[in-house]
Amino acid sequence: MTVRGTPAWRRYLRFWGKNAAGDVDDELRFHLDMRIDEYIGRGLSAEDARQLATRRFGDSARARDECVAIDEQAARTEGRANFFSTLRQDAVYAARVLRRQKVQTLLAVACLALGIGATTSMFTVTDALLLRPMPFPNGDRLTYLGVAGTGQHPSNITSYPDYLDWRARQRSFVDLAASGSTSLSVVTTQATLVDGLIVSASYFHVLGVVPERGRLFAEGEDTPSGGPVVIVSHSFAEQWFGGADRAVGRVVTVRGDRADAPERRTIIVVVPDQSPMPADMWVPIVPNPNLTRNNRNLQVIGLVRPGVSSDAANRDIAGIESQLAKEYPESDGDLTALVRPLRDQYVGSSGPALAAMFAATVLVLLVACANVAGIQLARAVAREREIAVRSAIGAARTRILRQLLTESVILSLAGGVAGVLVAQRAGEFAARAVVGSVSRWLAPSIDLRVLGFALAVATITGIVFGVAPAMRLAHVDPADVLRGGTARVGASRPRLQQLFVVAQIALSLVLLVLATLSIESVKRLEQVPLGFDRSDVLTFRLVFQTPRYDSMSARARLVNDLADRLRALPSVRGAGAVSLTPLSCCSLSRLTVEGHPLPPGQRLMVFDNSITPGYFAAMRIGILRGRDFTRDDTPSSMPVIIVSKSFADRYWPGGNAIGGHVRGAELMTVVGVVNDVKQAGLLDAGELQFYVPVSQYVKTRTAFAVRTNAANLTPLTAAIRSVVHEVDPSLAVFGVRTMDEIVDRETSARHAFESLMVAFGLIAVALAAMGIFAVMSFLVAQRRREMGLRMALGAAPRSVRSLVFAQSGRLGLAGTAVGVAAAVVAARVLAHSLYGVTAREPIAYVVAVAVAGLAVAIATFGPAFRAARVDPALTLRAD
Amino acid sequence: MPEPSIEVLRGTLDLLILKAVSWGPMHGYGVARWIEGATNDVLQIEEGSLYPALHRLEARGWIGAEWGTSTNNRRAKFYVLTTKGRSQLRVETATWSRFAHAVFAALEAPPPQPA
Repeated sequence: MTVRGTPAWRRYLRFWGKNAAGDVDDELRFHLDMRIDEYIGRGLSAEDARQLATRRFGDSARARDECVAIDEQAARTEGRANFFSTLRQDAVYAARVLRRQKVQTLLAVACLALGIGATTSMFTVTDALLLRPMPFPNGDRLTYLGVAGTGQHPSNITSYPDYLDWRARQRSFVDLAASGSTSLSVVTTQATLVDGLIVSASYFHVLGVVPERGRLFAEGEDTPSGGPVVIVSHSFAEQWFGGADRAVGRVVTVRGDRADAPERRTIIVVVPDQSPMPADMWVPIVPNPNLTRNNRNLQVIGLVRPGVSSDAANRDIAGIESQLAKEYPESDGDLTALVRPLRDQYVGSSGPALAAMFAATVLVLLVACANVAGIQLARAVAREREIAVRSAIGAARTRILRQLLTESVILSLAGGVAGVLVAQRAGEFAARAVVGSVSRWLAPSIDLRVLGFALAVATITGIVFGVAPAMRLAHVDPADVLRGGTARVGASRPRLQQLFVVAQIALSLVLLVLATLSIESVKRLEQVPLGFDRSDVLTFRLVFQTPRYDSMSARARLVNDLADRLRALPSVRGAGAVSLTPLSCCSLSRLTVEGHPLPPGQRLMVFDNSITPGYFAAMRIGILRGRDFTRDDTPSSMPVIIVSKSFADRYWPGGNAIGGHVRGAELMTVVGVVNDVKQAGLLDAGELQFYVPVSQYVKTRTAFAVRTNAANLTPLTAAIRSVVHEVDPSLAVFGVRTMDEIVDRETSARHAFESLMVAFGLIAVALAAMGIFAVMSFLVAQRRREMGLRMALGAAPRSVRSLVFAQSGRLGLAGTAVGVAAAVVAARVLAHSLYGVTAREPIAYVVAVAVAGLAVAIATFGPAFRAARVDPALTLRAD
Repeated sequence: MPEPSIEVLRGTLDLLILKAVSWGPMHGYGVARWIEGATNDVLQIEEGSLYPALHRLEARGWIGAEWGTSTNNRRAKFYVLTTKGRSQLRVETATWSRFAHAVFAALEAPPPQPA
């Protein structure tokens, strides 16, 4: 006879209840007893029989142990196989259930996709910022070395002699390197302007950059005896020479704005593009008398020795700087030095924004979970009969629970997959919102770790929102359900759902308040007075490259000439030159004001600009007193200066700045006062500024601002280029941008942040509305008999509707109360990092409550009207 | 008779157990008795190796087990041949036959020719 192997569950029982050891003992004992009987049957005495039988068996203890081991191993494998097979069964069943109610399932998956997607994209940003090692060699050991004056913010800028001393005396670093940013005008086949860095010979060694072709700066190439060499980037080599191979060894003409003359330099190496300080070209520092200890224009980076903590490095450098302070009190007297890891530079300022985003995504996730839990609860009630039947025919409670949880986890895994797709799109956007200009190396991307995170979040979410409905269902009393018909009214069941909905409303209120605050903040930032009229102004930059412009008078003549020609173009309403347009940061010069001597050791540094007459008119910067520069301000006439309002107010309070004297390179007379202009950034406050005419001082680079009334800027741009070309074909025009673009760039990060917060808020509200809809539908369905009764007794449909609205109104009120309280707390935290708003902006709360209230009302319409349409005859009859 | 190597014995024992059980449900003692009887007491099974073999075969699914009562009313564990086991028996019988024939052929081969 052939029989199948023992059914799994029976073997299971045996190994579960009894132990394998006991069974084996029984089995062996039986054998022994039978042998003994056999021997007794053959005529031996009982005692002899036993002895013989035992001896014959052999090493029974070993046999027993072996059998027990085999059995236990078999049981374990069995158990594992069982687990997976039941899991598969559960999954198949769950899929069938979910497919049966497509709309609800899709809704739930959508909610989850939003929640998990938001969380995952936040994780990618956090990962790229904080967790992942920076994508260049030595990344995490790189530091910035900076100095701070007493009471000043630390800056990363120091002077060449200080750098040399630091480098010679330090002990915690493998090496230090210095760099200064500059724009280099380069002539290869054409003139072009590149972002460049002037660096010490140790620079690439510290960064750990491996050259693509050629060799790096040799020690000593940053001295006067070093040859004229230059290093270019991969993209530069690609663009101008068609590849790294062809670039090495070529000679290019390079001129920086710190150099006196353009030089022919040989390209010695090409480096790959990835670097914490991206640039296209690097030239070695050449020590010259201009690089005094007081002349601070270099950034210093250091590679910390492995194993040295940043505290130790800090102490090292601080110690050296205090030595220098004693040795050179005039230049280093009030300075302290410090060491800051590279990563902090980028992450530091984004901290609050990151935290805010993270909190917001968690809230959205919670709202999504609550929503799905609500959906599942509603669905659960509909499945009571099914569960009751299963329980009645013998399914264990834990089995049912497990199956329901599998269902929610599958749901949330589906949501997770969709969420990852969402995160892919949103990641870049989120990064911009948090960090601002996304550095080249900050590239949030989906990798295995992110997928793992999404998986974890999805699974936890599934369990979290699945538990409540599952527990409820699993504890259903089958007899109760199967006996009762539709007359059952489970009064306690909706309470959980209602709680969820109240929570959802509260959470979405918080998000709405935060969103409104963000909007307000950006609006206020954009209303900050700029000091000029930003619309309809085109700007571009110009660089002087040929020896023709070595003399300042030649440059001045050209700039004035160009300004005149530009002003003569059709559709131009004003034009002028300025060394740096507003919001393009800064150049500082040292001034002293006559009659206001400075205490020793203190310097007055003021934003400087050199302009042509007509610039103020072109930018519509108000001239408050005195006059603009004119043609009569020439190199030979009296040196003149125009100061900003803050400058005038500080040194000539009472308004008699005109005629005052200011000493820079020479003694200048104040001839005008203009409005303050935002030079460094929108958050500039009362920074001092001054202007000199181009005729009397002009740098090697300048910008132009052209006000136009043309709608289409392309013909104007072409006209500008041809005017410049006409005057001198060797001049290169770059960075053509409208003032609007420049200003918008300042707020783009905040706009991105604001958009994200608004999106979160709206998503949360939409989810909460769905929740309300679901709950109210459910409640209406529950109370259908009651509604029918009321209407049969003469109640108007309107009163039934208002009943429903009243019920949802109560939920909304409760949610709003909790939400407002929570929002106040959250707003206080966020307001710190937002410009211009406090936690108590009434408009934020009013708008948030209004939006939430509207959502609740709209969501209740459907169920309310459905309740009123109930046919009393039908409901009363069906029982 | 000299003890054959453990390896050979184990493989052969498995085969014999399968054959024994193929006649119907049998407990461990019954299997031992059948083997002794069928081989005319030539093969004496060491009980210490019989039971591990039985359990191993059960773990692999070639035989199934059930607790029942023996002919003298004692509680005993009975083994039955499963479908998998039946085909395994067929396979191993064939292999064993081929093996035996091959050995016999070698033992009765004529003397080797001088090279």
